[in-house]
Amino acid sequence: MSNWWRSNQAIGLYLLLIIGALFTYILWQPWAHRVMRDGFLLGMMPMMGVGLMLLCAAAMIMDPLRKEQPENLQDARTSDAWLPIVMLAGIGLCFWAMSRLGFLLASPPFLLAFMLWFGLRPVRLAIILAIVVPVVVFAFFTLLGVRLPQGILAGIF
Amino acid sequence: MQIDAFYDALALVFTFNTLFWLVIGVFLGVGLGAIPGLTASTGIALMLPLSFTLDITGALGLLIGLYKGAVFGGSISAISFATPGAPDSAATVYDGYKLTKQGKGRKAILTALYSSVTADTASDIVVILVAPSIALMALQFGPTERLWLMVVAITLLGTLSGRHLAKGMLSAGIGLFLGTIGADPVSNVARNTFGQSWLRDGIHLVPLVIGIFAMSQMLDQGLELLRKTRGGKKVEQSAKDLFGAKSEGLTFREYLSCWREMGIGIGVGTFVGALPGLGATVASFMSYGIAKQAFPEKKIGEGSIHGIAAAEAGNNATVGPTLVPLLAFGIPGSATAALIGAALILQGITPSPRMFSLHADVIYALFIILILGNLFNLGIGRAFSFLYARLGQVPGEVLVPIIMIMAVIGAFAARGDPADVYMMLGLGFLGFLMRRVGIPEAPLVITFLIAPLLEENLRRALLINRGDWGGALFGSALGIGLAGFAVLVLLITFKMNVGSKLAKIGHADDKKEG
Repeated sequence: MSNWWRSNQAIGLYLLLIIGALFTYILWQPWAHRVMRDGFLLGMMPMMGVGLMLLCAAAMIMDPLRKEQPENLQDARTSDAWLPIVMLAGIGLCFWAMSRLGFLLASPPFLLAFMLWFGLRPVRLAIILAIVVPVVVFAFFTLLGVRLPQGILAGIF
Repeated sequence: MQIDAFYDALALVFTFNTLFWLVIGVFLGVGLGAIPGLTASTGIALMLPLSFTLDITGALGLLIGLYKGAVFGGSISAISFATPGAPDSAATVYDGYKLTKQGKGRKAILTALYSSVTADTASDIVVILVAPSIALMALQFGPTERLWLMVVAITLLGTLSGRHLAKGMLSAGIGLFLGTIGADPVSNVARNTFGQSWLRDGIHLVPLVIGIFAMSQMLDQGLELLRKTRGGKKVEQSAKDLFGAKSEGLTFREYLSCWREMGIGIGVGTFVGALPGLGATVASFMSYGIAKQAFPEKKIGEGSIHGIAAAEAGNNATVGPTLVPLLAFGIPGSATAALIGAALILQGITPSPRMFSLHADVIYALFIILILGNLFNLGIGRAFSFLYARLGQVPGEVLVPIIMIMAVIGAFAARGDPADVYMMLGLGFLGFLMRRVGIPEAPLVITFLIAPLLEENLRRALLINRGDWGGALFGSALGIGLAGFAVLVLLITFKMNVGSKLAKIGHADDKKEG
């Protein structure tokens, strides 16, 4: 029972609650009940999608595989939930900096930080790669005619 | 056959631009395939924005070359380090790695290359012969039949994409829901935007594809790196030792001796590839399993080139046929076909049976590229396999951050809209969660692509039948037949747990192996 929360049944229950809330939200929206000129209900397809999800979440609670634990959740830790969020926040921050400072200035600190975080050693190798890779990527995309954010270096290129 | 269109296609393909991108595609594909953890879908998703900048044949050359190269490339690391580059090549590990340990790594890789190219070419020829006839038949379909055909495709995808029927269908439901965000395809009225004006145009395909296929995988691998639980068996030799000049090659007689296994691979791969939802991994294990049962005297599983031939012919034979549902019906049968379909859409060509008459030159160009891709795969694989084997040793600590940056660039470069990048990150997290709980991603992406077509056909059928739902849904015998087939597939899959059995084809052998 201690590991029930990792089972398909538990996942089905969580999904049922989330999707149920989404279904209720859509049901309350005026556009969902708007009838189009051809007589089609505007909210029909979104509700079909959510309805299918609800049905499947309910099936997960009751079907023969309900007690099974997904392979990737068997040894899951709490950090598995927040570490990807930290990674995404880092990438988001890198993109935010990229749009202000430019690709060439924003990417090296991100690459260096992530390479070191993931365990790349020696540090010297990480520094070299963090500088060389963005330059190569920038040159490659520029050659292809794709303009990457130039930020404060816009005057130079 | 439209001779003029064929000549136009030849002129389109045999240009420096197309051939250059085809070579680049194969070159990148074999490399991507050789790197454990990077699949054809990841590669194509990352390259999709780049394909905008190319003309149609250049884009097709890049993506098809990448696909073909990646499916073969997976065998390189499977044979060299017992770590398949992609799940498609997992069956190759059994015999490939044993041969490598015996000092016959070169022989194993050449067997994989030749059987891959042979099977790929044979199945491409089947596609070229069969697809136009199916498309001709599909032209007779009305909106009702097209609607049910899409439902059948979604059902097959949902039921066969993983071992859990509910999860496969849930993924399809998510795709259907995401596909309805933004303006509706008929009246262009905004809906399902959560009050956000930037969602008025809906979710763009590129951030969705990059988020679901590339970013989610990188988050997963990043997490693995942080937990230091990277898979793969201990590398006992370096690539240099494995493929030295003294290493044994493959004779023509040995290649010919694998004809039965390659034949099995071609048959299984072509059939499985054309069915929505199954894919190269199932084909590879099925072909390997059949060959092992059929020819016990060949000692498949104990370090035999015949095992490699069966597995590699099986997975590569799916490459061409996976495009059949896309070309004949406009419905992608696999994630990779969906991405190639997306590239066509982004180039202004909607995949459908009408493509054969409206864009016959593009269809012929695609057929020529399919065949040419095999030749380039052979040449590049023959010349650089042993170099790519070293690529498989590039540490994830370097690759993951670089691919994350590439994903950001890809999402941004498509439209230059920063919202796409944040959307990609959000969808990447959704994809990561789906991976964690075992929900397959392919049905989501394919249903997302099909959703507007589904709605268009439903509404057109309703218009034709003056709002009569009965007539719109069950107005033709074929429509009823297809609806019945969809229900039957669902019932059979639920009763017999077919997805689970197919998924176990690989796992059973994995356990035996150790």
